[in-house]
Amino acid sequence: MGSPAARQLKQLKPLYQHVVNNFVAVLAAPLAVAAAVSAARAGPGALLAGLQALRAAHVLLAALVPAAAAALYLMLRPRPVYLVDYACFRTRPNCRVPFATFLEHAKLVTFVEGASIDERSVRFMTRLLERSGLGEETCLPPAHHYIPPYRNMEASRAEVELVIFSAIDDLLAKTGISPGAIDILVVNCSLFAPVPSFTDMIIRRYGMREDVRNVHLSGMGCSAGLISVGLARNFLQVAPRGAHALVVSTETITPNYYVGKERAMLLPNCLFRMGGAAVLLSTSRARARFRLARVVRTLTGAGDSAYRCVFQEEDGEGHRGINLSKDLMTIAGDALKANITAIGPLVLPASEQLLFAVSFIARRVLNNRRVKPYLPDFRTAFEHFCIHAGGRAVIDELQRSLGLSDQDVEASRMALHRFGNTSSSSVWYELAYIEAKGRMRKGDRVWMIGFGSGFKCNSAAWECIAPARSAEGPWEDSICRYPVDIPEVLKH
Amino acid sequence: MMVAELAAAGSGSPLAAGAGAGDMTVHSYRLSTVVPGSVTGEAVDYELADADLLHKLHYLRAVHVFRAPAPGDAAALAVRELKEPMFPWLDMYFPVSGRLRRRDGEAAPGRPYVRCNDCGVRIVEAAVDATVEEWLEQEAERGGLCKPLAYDKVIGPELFFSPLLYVQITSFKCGGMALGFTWAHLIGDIPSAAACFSTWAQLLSGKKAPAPTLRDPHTKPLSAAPAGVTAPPSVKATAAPVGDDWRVPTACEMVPFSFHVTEQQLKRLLLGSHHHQVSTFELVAALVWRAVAAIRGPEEEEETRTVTVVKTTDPAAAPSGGRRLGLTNEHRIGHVVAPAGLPPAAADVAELAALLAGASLDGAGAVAALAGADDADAVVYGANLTLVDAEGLDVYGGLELGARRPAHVEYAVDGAGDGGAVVVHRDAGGRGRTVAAAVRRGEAGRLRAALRDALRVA
Repeated sequence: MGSPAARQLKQLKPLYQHVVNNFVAVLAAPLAVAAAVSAARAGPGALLAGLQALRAAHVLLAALVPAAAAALYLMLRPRPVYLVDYACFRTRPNCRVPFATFLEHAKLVTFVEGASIDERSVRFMTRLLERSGLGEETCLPPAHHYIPPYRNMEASRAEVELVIFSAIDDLLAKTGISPGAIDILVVNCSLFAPVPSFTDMIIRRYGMREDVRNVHLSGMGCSAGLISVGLARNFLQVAPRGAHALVVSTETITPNYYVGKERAMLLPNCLFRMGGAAVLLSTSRARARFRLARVVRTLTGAGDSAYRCVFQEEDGEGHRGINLSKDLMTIAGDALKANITAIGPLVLPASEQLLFAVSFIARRVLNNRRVKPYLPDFRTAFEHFCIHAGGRAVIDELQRSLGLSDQDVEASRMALHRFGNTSSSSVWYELAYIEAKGRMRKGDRVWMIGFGSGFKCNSAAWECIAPARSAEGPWEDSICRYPVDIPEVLKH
Repeated sequence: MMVAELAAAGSGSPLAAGAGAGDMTVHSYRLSTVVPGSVTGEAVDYELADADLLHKLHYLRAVHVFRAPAPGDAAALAVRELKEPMFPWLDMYFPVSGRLRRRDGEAAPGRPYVRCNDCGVRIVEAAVDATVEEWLEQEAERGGLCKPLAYDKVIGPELFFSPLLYVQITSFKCGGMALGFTWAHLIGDIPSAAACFSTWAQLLSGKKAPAPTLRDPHTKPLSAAPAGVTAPPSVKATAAPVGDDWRVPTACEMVPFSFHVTEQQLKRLLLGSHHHQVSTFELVAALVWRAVAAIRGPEEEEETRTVTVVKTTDPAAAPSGGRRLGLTNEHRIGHVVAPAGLPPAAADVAELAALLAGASLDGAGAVAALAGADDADAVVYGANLTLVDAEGLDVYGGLELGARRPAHVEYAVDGAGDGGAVVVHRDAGGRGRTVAAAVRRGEAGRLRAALRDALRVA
């Protein structure tokens, strides 16, 4: 198409959007006018005669049927779920791991008995880290500052307690709620599932009630945070009115340091960092800050390549690690498309859906491969995007797939730089970034997208009721330095 | 002697088991790293002056032994609590947590400098199966027990991955603790190191410590090396280039030696020399010089005539000319040659001391300039028998942790050459002296006997 034609179409787009999005009004307005005109023509006498002709039964039905339908609808619709507040684990300087230290430790571990990480692996990790998008302030648990790192249960529990107890303490302080008022507890941590579970640790530490409904989700991957939110939402539908649900998302790094030399399995060592978030959900709107609009989960694990994409296994020498396949980007792209197809109709305005449908039909009917599939503009549905900071490549790929601008993905890139890949809690760090920057307004809609093993792509859509009241949070000390320009290759 | 960084796990540095109870072997090493709390910056370089590079083969070993806290006192500090103030401490002293690199480019290719990449300092946790009292007894009897309490590692073979500072925390059976610092001399001289450790102790005790003034990273220190000038006798080149393995190649093995001179013995020495203008350092150093010369005998008579004198504090330093830099090599080095008529092995202590007092000293920078090429592998400590005056340093008060003062402190030079290096500093009471030395294997026992005899008689 020539560019003058395209420009004209672009100018017409806002008009088109107004018309289609307010379709009902656009249709009803002329009908109402027509009805008024015909009533005026008929005259008041004819109207009164018409009214008297009506039978009582009809009137009763006309009143009762819609009322009954409305009442039934109100009773059966799902209860709205609100986010009261959230708190992320605030990293401390004493857990900081600069680039140089990480590499030096990796090199020195080569001397340890049983480890087979070698010079080539260290060079590979150097190249990975240079291009990873991580900054010099990311944190690893204290056990990983040892050479060789401690990976035992005691150290793992110590990390868990450090991360989740401090996040929950922050959350309880922010919301003013007492632990006894929590009715539901959902925790997710993929790679560490001790007995007794995390929920038992939390219940014990905070002295929660005996009848707390608690679940620990393990093995669900990096998108498990949104799965937990979805599960808590379901619990809240059957809990007493005004119940509170505490959702804790974290990933425990300590037991998972890979000491082999398989390249595909070294990547998690380089990217995963310490982090966690605690979120309080409720069906009561009092003091709520966000409303949960949608949770959409898609799973592509029926296919072999998606299933094996992120796979925990032992390598040839018996060292356990997580194997990331080379097709990760493609599979992530496919999973995203599946998720968009599911969430699109639920959140996109009618104008975008119509365009998407027309382009879809055009491609099918005309069998015309040259017609590009219409990419719905999700910026009409959301103001902010929190894309799981899985890695620089994942964020770039998603930016391209969704047609987002650099500012839209800034939260993800900066969270990756400052905190690394904190797995399921990364979307919360990104939300904290947007709020710390003061960009959140009442009525803004947020889209959280998580990816993880499975291969899963999960989304949650939120609407802001009240932005953050203070600047407290994980970005407190560093927000003034952001956004930073992240170089292609880190100089070191 | 120098153990590989991790091969020591499980094995310690054995010492000949003395008659005393308690095995003094240090074991169960566990390594970790501490980094600066905040980001230093991207590609921040710290240039090393010629005076710094002159000392690149030498290390300072500073060991502080603390008794277990008495019942009723605050509990002993856990490793975690000892590490906590190190993060802000390293923010102040960020070059110490950097790593060495060599310049490439046309200007001074191959010259080492420090890339301040926040790589960190190495913390070593170890244990010993003796009580502090048993250890103090053994140390008084045979000496040389401080060496295993500081991590024995040199820079190299990979400069890129070699820390400039090791901190070893050794736990004693009774709950006491030893803190051993292994400090690369190139990053700073003995007073710089002492001030640096003291800053950490102040932070640990909850006091505010003044941040050190460091060399501006952007100025390259001038190296005015006049060509063709011969090196002074206090500095010698190594027999062969050491490459990236920064230790002094010695013909014989060097072993640690320590000795305590009591206040009474010092008083007697001073009385015996009242007609000369000498200080306690010169007297003690002269004693050692005479004893070593006697041990080394007539075959080495020519070599033992010359000694190197190093003074760490300068009483005449300009008080107004700006504060001393936090990290610098500004000590003064000189040499003394005993004249033909005064063989050191048989001379009077007071006369040797007077010779030492008359030594003419130059700043380390000037000596480095005279020594020539900026990356020559030079030996300063141990080129000849080297006598180091550290009397001006408050080595005990500097490392007070809260209310706890160390029970025993030893500052010594590691990586010394064949000549040996002797450091003299104050003891716990402040009035006696501790002599800490690196001497050749076989000399330690005879030196101890000779000093005991000399001090009994004097």
